[in-house]
Amino acid sequence: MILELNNVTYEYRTKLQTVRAVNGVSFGFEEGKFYAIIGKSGSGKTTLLSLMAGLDLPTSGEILYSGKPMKAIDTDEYRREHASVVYQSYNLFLKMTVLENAMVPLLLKKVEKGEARSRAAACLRDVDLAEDKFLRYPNMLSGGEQQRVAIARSLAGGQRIMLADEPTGNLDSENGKNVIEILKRLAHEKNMLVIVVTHDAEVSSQADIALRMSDGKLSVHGSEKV
Amino acid sequence: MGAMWIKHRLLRTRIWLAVSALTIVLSIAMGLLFNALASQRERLSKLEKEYPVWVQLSDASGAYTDGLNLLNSHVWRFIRDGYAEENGVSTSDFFTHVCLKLSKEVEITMPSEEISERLLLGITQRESVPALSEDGGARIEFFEGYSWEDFSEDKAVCLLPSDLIPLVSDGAIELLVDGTAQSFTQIGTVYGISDSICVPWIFFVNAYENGIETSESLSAIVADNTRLSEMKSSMERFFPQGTSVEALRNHNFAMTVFDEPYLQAHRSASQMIRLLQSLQPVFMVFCLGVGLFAGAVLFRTRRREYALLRSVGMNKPRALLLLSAEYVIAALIGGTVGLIAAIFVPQLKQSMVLIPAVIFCLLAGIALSQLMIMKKSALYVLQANE
Repeated sequence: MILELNNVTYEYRTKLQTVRAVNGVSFGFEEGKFYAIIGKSGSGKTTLLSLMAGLDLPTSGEILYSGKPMKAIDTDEYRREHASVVYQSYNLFLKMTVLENAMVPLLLKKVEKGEARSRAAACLRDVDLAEDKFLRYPNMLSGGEQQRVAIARSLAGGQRIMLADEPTGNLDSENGKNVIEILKRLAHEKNMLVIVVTHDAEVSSQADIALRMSDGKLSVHGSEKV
Repeated sequence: MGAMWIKHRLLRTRIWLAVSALTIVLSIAMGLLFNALASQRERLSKLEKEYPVWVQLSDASGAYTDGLNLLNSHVWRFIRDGYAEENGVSTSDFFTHVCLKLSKEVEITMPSEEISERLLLGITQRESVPALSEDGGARIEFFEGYSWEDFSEDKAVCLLPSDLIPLVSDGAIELLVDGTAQSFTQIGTVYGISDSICVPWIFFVNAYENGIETSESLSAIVADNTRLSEMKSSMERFFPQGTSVEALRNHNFAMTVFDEPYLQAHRSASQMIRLLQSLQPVFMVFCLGVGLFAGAVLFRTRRREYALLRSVGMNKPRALLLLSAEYVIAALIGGTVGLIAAIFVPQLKQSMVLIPAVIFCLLAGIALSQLMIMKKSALYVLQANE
């Protein structure tokens, strides 16, 4: 298990009450598999993703990465070296070119610029983005292309875990399908752990393992696919 | 990463242009404010220098104290009306000494050979007046139309040694001020007391209207010459013709003139200076506020970018530094242009040292606003944009 959740709970306070967004979740995720977490809005799936991405820490319970508790790991380093996030609205750096966007994780790891450029280009090719688009700015690309750039940026960092928050939410069905195919391929061919959070049943049907999040609790949804 | 980021932000956004323009405008505005303050100070200084007032001090023995350091070395004390009768003493038993802060030294000599040369010192009226207070028991005969309130503000005060009194003729005396003959007229009286030093003195001040000495200006102040005549009569009563210098020293009265045009000009310049001085820190706070506002305006965009940088693994300090760097560079560019403008525009030269302060306040405001974008959970911020 590369990522384990042990009785993870997350609470936050509003003016009126305390909300338990994640409620005692325990699960183990393996490399080389494509997971989907399906649930309605407000079920806690985004919060769970945020915890797994190291953007927040659980109120109780623990998250283990390769057996090490997340609390003991520098979360900035965790996101730089081990886990990346892909968002519904791509969240690219709009003032940088496509290639430069893909280079960001490498530059943060202090990879030399020339090498960063070539590795970023390779990742963009991995997500089937045409080379003539490398020097364009994100606003010159379609939604599907932008999402692929976002995936390439996540891939370029070399992280073993890729977390995607509604990656097809802003895409048409064709582009959405393409993106899911890419994510599946990455999981299987590059032995990555890919977890997609979605409310789309079609997406969850593509997953190796589908999980359901409801009222902060996680359960297996449907049967495991190999 | 940093260099690439800065290059893109500076070249591809107009933010740097806005911040630069802002810095230039604020720097030049600061320069103009400073220049206005300097002009007013110069005006006030010129006004005071053109108003010839002078003083002669003597000790109890009558010896003159030109050589003393006269800065805050003596204190005014005044006898209240009726004190002498109540205590069974004569005014001649009382002495007065002077607290003055001197601003200008002029050489005043006697045109007459009968009195030996001596150095007289110039004063500013601001420092002389505070010691004259009703609470202190001063008794002052005001000219018509004036009161304690007028007198307690800046007034021109001048002391004339009592041995020069015989030279007063028709209420006026002519002296050489820095070698130039000037006529001084007696027009008021102050009574006071001192317990240590005898300074029998008479105040003479030349009244100026619009900076030009005219005899009519005195009339304008006192409405008519009745008071002048009264003063002259008092003088003759106290100091009849032929009174010895020694005898004169035992008397303690003085006269003060109120020069309304001068006072108005002085008050106006002083008020303007105080206003401009008070604007300087206000302006700095304004620059700070502008910086805060500039940062806050871009809050939403910057917060998203900050969240994104954090989500790809950049640590907090580096992310904030990166986001702030473009503003810093833009402000430095703007400030440099402002400095260059100051070099070539004569009116702004004096303010050059303040331009870095403007830049600092602007940057401080921007830096403070960047602290607002620190968000615990980057994902929620990024999600909010969807």
